[in-house]
Amino acid sequence: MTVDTPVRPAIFVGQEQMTLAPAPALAQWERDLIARLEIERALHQIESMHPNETISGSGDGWDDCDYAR
Amino acid sequence: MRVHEKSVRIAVVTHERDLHAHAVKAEMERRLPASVHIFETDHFGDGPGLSWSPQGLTEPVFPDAEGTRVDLRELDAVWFRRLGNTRTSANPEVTDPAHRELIDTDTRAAALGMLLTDFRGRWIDRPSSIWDAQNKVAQLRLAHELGVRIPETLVSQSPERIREFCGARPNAIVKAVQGVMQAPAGTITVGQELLADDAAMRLCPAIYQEFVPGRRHVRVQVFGDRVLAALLESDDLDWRPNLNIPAAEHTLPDAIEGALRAILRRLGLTMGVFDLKLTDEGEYVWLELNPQGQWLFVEGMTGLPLIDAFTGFLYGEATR
Repeated sequence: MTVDTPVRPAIFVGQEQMTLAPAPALAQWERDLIARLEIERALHQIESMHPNETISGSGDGWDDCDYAR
Repeated sequence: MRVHEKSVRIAVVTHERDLHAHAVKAEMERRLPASVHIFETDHFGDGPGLSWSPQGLTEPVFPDAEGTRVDLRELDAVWFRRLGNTRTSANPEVTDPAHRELIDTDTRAAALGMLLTDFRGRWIDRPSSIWDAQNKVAQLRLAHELGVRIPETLVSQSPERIREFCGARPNAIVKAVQGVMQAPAGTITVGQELLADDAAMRLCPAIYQEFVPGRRHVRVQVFGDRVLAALLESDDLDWRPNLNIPAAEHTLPDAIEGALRAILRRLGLTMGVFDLKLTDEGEYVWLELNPQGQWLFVEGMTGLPLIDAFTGFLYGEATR
């Protein structure tokens, strides 16, 4: 999360940070997948995964592993 | 399960709540003679945790998400998907950001060291290969060298060079060289506000590229020999924030498939997820490679059998 600052890096000039729109059809597919594969862990009950999180189960942003070290 | 197939043990190195890992584990264990262990590396501290000794005073064991102790020496393959997680829900009682960073970095370092020291099976893919490959500067140079069409690009923090580059290329875009998990940033059009802000441009390099027109975005999953591509239709410059868009299976020309495979070979990777753009003139423009990019959502949007394909690929690597 960026905060009030007199100077911000170029990629943040004109945007705060990427925000994800809800994708209800994809979210429902993921819940169906969890049920179909009988994944025991209640991933679909995790509050942070609902309703915006439809990609990775890793938080509220997009994680293509760009940040890994 | 086919009885003549070899029984294997596979581990997924990842973090909490990784639906990719759980989906592949479920499919693999349903279909094939395999045990898949999920290592949630950000939750190692929940149980017995890690112990290691160069003198062999302890067994090189990781606890999996179900609490099973897994000897790294007995694994046939490791799917190295994610290591650590700066945004984990683990250890909520630790609130100092420096302390949380220490927990993450030292757990990652110890876990990586143990894997590099004691695991002897096949990597999907080797950490050093992944980390080298995901550097966008290196990717762009390699793609260019291999004759793949890439956007005209400037990586810079020089206001003068940036203004000159963007001034000659209407609607040029800017994106992060790597970015930070704490504040994911989308690809955006370079505006006059930025071009007038020397201090912002000087802080650190960013990637500036010519605008590639068109609404056809291509996400390509390469799993070993298999190439599965999807066409995502979006008027947005960056399709990721809004996935309520038309998506369908897409067939790439043989030459493009060959080029993507060549890029992976040069980078020492067995898999990768590519972002391309298909122009109105029918030209494929390479944007970037994600060595361990997300792909599950593509199956959800298109019906492409990616879980099935990836499971077969991973099992094949484990039995090679």
